[in-house]
Amino acid sequence: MDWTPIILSFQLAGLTSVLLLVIGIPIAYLLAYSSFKGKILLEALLGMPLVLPPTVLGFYFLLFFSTEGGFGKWMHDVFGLNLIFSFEGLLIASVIYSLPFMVQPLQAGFSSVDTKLIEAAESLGKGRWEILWRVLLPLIKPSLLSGWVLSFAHTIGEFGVVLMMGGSIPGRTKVASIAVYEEVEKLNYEAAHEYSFILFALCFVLLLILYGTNRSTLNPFHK
Amino acid sequence: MIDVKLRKVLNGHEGDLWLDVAFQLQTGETLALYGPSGAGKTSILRMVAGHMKADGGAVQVDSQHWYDGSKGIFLPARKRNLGVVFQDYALFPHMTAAANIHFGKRKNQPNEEVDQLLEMMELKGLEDTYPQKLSGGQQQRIAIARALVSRPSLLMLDEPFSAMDQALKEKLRFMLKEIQQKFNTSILIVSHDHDMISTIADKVIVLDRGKILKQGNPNEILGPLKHHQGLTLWATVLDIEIDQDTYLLKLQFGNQIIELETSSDQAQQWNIGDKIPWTANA
Repeated sequence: MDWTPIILSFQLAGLTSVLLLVIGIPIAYLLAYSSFKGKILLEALLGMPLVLPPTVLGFYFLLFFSTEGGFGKWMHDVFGLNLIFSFEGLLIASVIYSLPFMVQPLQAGFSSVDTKLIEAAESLGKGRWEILWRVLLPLIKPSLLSGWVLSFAHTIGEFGVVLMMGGSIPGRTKVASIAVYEEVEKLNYEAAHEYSFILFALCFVLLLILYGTNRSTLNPFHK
Repeated sequence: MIDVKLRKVLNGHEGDLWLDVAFQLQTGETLALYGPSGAGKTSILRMVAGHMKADGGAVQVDSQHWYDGSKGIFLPARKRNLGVVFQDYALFPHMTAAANIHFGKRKNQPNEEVDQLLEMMELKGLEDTYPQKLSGGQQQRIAIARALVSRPSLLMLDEPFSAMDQALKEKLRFMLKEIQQKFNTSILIVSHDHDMISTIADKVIVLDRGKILKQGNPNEILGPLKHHQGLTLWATVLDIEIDQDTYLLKLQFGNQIIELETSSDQAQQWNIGDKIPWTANA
């Protein structure tokens, strides 16, 4: 059995969820604590991957990342990167595709923090960065964990976007979900079953470990 | 000296409330804002702290302008040298008692100052305990220690006596007096506890519907303590003498001075200059 699609899936999901943590925290912070013109527009836009068929997203990514024009051409001219049918392109698409799965739990987490705690920290002379690192992020650990798990799992389960954007290039864009599809197409049910079962078992064990070891994180103040 | 002039339209359950107040607080003085719920007491505290913006007016602490509506000055809360004790204490639930207090420290401030406060607030032995495991009184003492650790020029307490029994109120009163003597901090208390204001505040401001009805000495403004039935006399502690195991309180009633032998527990509750109510039941 070829393990490459499984490894690629986990690489993609790992990198995507880590990048999403970096990107998602400031976006969620902004949405939770600021009111500005166009906020509803931004929220609606960020939530689009939740409702759009993945093939529609994949189609637009294909056009947007194409070297024929726009962002894809700029990336190609400046960095020499071809985002279509590449792992890098898949990574960018996955980040956008899974963005609401990170932002929404974090935004809910930030909004649930008692504003008195923020005011208390301010009156103790602390600035925004220090309050974020020392008060808010520790308090929203359960939301950080939810966002990370959801975006990781969502990326592992990605199919439509990958198919449209990345195709099925072994070692570069052929992730596990694509490998399962191809094996079924070839009526090779045994190989499809192997990929599916490994994916199922690894994801299940990952979630078990995460939820099990982080029980104290989810209930951090009842030691 | 702290000079406060504030104007603000507050949106309440009963429509708009026009808040318009002006008062001064001398260094080392305790001022109480007294009045019914919805009078605007907590809003004044929030505006002085910088957690709410006034529509107009000014807040000046010595020569520093914290807020001046006419000049567009608004110093953020983090730059105002004050300590706030919230009604629900607002302790950080993910930090231990000691960590909560350490959080309030300025950069390069020695840890010994936290230890001193832990001792002063009778929190020794509770350093590693999370706030949820502590009683309301203990949580409040952590909140006070946290607010004091950076040595603020002004300490503000929002309804500190609510949900407290008489013994705890007395303990807090004693501690606030100690704080004031040790740090010379000005204290602004928001409360509707008539009796505690009478015993702790140097000055009281009575508020109603956002306006100052009257201000002055608590005993003159609020009258005698409510919970005592009968005749109440006020004595000033002139001196506390310790002779081996005997404690002698020298008290002044009007122009009369008497000496009273008392226990060490009783004597330690009072400081020179305190006013003590003496009640004769009818």
